[in-house]
Amino acid sequence: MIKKAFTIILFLFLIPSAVWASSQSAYQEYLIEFDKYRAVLNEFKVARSEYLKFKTLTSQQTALDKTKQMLSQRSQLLRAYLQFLNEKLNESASMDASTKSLYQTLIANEVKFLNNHTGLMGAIGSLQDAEGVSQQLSSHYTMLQSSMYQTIVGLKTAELMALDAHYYALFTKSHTLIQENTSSYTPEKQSIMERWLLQIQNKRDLFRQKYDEITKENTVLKSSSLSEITASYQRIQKLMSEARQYLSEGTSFLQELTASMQYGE
Amino acid sequence: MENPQSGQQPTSPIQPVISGPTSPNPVIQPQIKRHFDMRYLFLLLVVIGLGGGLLTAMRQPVSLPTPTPSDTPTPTPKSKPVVPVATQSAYLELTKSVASLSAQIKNLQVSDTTLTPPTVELPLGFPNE
Repeated sequence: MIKKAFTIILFLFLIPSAVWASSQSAYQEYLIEFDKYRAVLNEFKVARSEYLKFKTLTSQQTALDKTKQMLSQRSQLLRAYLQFLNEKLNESASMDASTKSLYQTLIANEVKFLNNHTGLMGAIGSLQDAEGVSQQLSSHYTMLQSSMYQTIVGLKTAELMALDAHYYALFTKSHTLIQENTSSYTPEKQSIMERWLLQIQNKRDLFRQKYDEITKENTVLKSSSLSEITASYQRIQKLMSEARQYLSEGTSFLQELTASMQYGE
Repeated sequence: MENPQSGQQPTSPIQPVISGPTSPNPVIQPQIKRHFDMRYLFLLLVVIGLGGGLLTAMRQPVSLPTPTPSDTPTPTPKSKPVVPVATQSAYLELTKSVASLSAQIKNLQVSDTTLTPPTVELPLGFPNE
């Protein structure tokens, strides 16, 4: 009986670390794949330049081998990154199940594409074939990047929204506590606290405005141009930073209000 | 008889008018210009310099008086009356939650570099043959 209880307790303790480990290990895996990709890419570049310089059969064969290795590793790197994003989604406590499922479907589709892409590499017999296979990823790359950036923005906005919900709950709680204890405060104090509450509410309104802007900008992430996607992502990051700042300022006001609530005058 | 040989001049009736003592012609004497001797100025400056240096060297460092603790205690601010709500669990929980929210917002990384997608090389760069 004791042994059973001990096992259950141990299991309960291990759950959070296992959750933490899944995204962390996925990230480590991604970094390893990135290192491999860098190494293979360098070898590919050397082989390519030698082939372009000497045009010999040997250099051509080496170039072909290195190209196949690079293409395979490139695909593997992208899959590792998508896996990392997927783990991040799994761990996200702030994102609701339906949104999470939406992003996970997006990722699953991209992984499926990459699996098919990797499958084509076995049939590469010449540099022209390699060009053709590489072109397949190139033409899909904008969509892939769009899915990646959308997922990142989704993760971050979910965190912001969870903080906003917490903020609003505390604002309401403060308001209720003040109203319930009106008799404890002087009329002057009451009017000051009402003004402060209004300012706290204003900060939230400003946050919501920024959030709306982020949502609007998020549609640009589905653009067909890679440069537009990158620029839009940078704008979203700026907007998210501003939204966070409003929440931070509002929380600071809340702290002042709660400290002031102790005194009647 | 008058002796003309007596040597005495006959007194002429017209006496010359003696108009006081005649002033002597002014003698222009060369004026002696008194030039300021620059050596004195140099000497003065040297003396001032030496004196100043000596004074600086002789000056004792001013020792600040050691502050002595005053017997009168620092007045504490008048404590405000605390309202009953301040001791309620709802209020205490609220303050804790606000502090926790503040920490969460501080920890939020909007631009998380670990999430940045990788950049890969797309065109292979072989000429079309």
